[in-house]
Amino acid sequence: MNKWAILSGIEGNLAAYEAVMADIKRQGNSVEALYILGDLVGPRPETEKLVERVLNPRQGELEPLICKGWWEEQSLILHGLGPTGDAPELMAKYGGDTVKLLWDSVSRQTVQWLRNLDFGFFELDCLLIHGSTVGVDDELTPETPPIQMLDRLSRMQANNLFCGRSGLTFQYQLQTGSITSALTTLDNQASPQTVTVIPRQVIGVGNVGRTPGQATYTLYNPGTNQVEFKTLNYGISKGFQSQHKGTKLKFRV
Amino acid sequence: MIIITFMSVPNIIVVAGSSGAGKTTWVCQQMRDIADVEKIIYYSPGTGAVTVDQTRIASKFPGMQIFGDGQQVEFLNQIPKADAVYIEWGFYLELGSVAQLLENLTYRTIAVLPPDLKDSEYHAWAKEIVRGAPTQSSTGETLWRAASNGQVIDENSLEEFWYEITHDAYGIVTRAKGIFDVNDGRSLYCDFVAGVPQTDFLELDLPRYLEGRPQRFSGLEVVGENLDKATLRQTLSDCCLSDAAILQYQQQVKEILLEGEKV
Amino acid sequence: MKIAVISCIHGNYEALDAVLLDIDQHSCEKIFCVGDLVGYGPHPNAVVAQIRSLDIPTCVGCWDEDIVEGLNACDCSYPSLLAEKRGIQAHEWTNKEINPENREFLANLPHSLKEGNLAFVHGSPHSNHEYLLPQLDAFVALERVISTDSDVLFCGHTHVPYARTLDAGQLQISVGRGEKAQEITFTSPLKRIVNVGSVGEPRHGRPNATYVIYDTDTQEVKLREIPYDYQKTCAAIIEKGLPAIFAWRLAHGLEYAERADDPTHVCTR
Repeated sequence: MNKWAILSGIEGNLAAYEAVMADIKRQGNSVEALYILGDLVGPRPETEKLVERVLNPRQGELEPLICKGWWEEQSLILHGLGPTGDAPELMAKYGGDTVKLLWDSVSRQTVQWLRNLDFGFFELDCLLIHGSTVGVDDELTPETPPIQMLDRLSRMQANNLFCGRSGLTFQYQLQTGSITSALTTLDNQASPQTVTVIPRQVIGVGNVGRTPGQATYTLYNPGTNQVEFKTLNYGISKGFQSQHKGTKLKFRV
Repeated sequence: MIIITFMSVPNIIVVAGSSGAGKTTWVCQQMRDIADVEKIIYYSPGTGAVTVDQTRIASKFPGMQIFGDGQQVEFLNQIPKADAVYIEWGFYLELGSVAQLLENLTYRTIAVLPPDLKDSEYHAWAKEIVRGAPTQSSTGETLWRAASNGQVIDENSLEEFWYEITHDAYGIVTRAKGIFDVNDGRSLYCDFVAGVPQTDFLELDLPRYLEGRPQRFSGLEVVGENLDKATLRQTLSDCCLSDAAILQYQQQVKEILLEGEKV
Repeated sequence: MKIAVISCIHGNYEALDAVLLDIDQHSCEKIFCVGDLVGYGPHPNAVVAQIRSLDIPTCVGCWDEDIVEGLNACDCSYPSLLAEKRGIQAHEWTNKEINPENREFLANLPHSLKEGNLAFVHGSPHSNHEYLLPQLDAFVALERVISTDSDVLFCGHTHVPYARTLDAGQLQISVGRGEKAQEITFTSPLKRIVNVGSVGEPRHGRPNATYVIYDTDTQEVKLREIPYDYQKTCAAIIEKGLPAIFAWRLAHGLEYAERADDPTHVCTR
């Protein structure tokens, strides 16, 4: 028992979630914690079924630790429970049809549950959050400037920041660095001091449900600091039937 | 057959001295040495409802009989049953009245005084002089007291308020002492004497009060010149937590203590 | 060219007057103000009028915003319940005292100013409630300057002045997306953060006003400390019915209510 399975961006995609849970099961006893970094819900009709599935783990499955994401915040806003009254980002990015679909897909009861979710988790020296502590919409990507990544890590004094807003899998490692700072105050002029950066990283944990047929998630070993990205192909079109005609009976899709 | 019984005569000690010299501290030190084997009683008249010294002693010596204003008769009745009797005579009381109180009794007179005080009324009255803290008192000082029983004081506010009091924001203060119930249920003892290095707040050895408004003494005594009593009173009031805030803090502490027990 | 940067006047007209005189004596060509013209002090209207009459470019401070929009100070600013109550009293008094014209002026102040390679904000580029304390992590401080696309970032809000240079900043990064990792090097030239202190509510233990003179030619930063007749402000505080304790706190160079305690806390109100 030494790894964490970290998921994000399920977006109501039940089939994708099942594929990932099956893959985690295949890891055996090595996974000790399951994190879902937001975007559990999404504009998909089976969202309610997905929520129910997540909240009722099967025997042998871990109880997931879930925090808020961007889609959760949009849902709260639509139901009048968000920090602002309207959802301009949602409208601009996805349009009115998606707004309606989101409204139809997420029940009021689920929204009440979403309201009480944590914003993120801090475990050992790791921050696990959907966007960053700046907000759920703070999208960190491989293109984000290094100084900004360091700022996001420093805000919580974390050495590892796991995030999911971008939906991408990436490992952004700040290996070394230094800066010389000199301070003058009214009563004192201090001599310059050089500080060095301790190695830290930001990890994009991928997304489970955004792309139909392909799910990505992350396995992390806090003891060895090893990060492993998992890519799964699932779905009816890529069934085993087409590839293993002779052993059709062994596999159920 | 003649049976002779000895009735032991209690050792009565009256401690007087200038404000802040260290009377109560000296009494505590004496009590500590004998509390295990002797029955001690303590009386400090003239403090009114603000029983700072009495509460301080009670927290150090649980079970000891302690008397204040309105309990003189009861106190006198208990004297024969005690082994040691300590009477603290505040600077605001007339030394001459001691004799009236302890008519027909034998007692030691002790004055705790600052080292550079000479030829005072204390010197004439006391048999023994104990060297105390180097305080400086002056004439024209007034005394202000406020009881705050049932109030919970926000600890950060108390620190700010105490800093202001001890740095003359409400008048030239030479002495201040108080006991307060704070956010997490502890009871804190605050002590200030001008000219003596400041000490941190001391946590009294009393149980945490986590069931609503405390049912025990808290309050403040300030001695100084030009005291702005109205503002002192108002500011103390501004440091008090609301019912909702008290409940919230007490809830938090209970949860933390519960988690601590589980570990 | 020498410029003067002032901040956090907080209705202290006597202090502002003394500072403007000092600025004049130092032949500064331009003056910039990073906000908090009003709040806590006894002469908010006189201060705003003076700033307006001299046409001093000003960006909005957290107190100026509070007067326009309603009180919204972060819980983290008030170190105690007592401080919070005093802050609320100051807000209510200022709210009643400020005249409509001056309130309108405050409402139209920009969030930040830019002049060449110099940037001016009240708290930080991200929030007017964020304190950029001198002990802030050096790389985080660098991020704040870089985010304004400038070489020198002037700020206020903490009420204690300092000048900080951030030099030779460099980071080695490796970015992997499952395939071969890309190596990136980040470097930064000399950057500066200059906190200009407070004209009207000093928190450095002395009642004097503080502000900064910056020479754009030599890049020299001068932290100025100006004594003035603060007793006049103390008398006005009491006469105008503001909490009398403010007068005592001004005389001792202590904050009236708000205080920045934790350099690692990032306030994002």
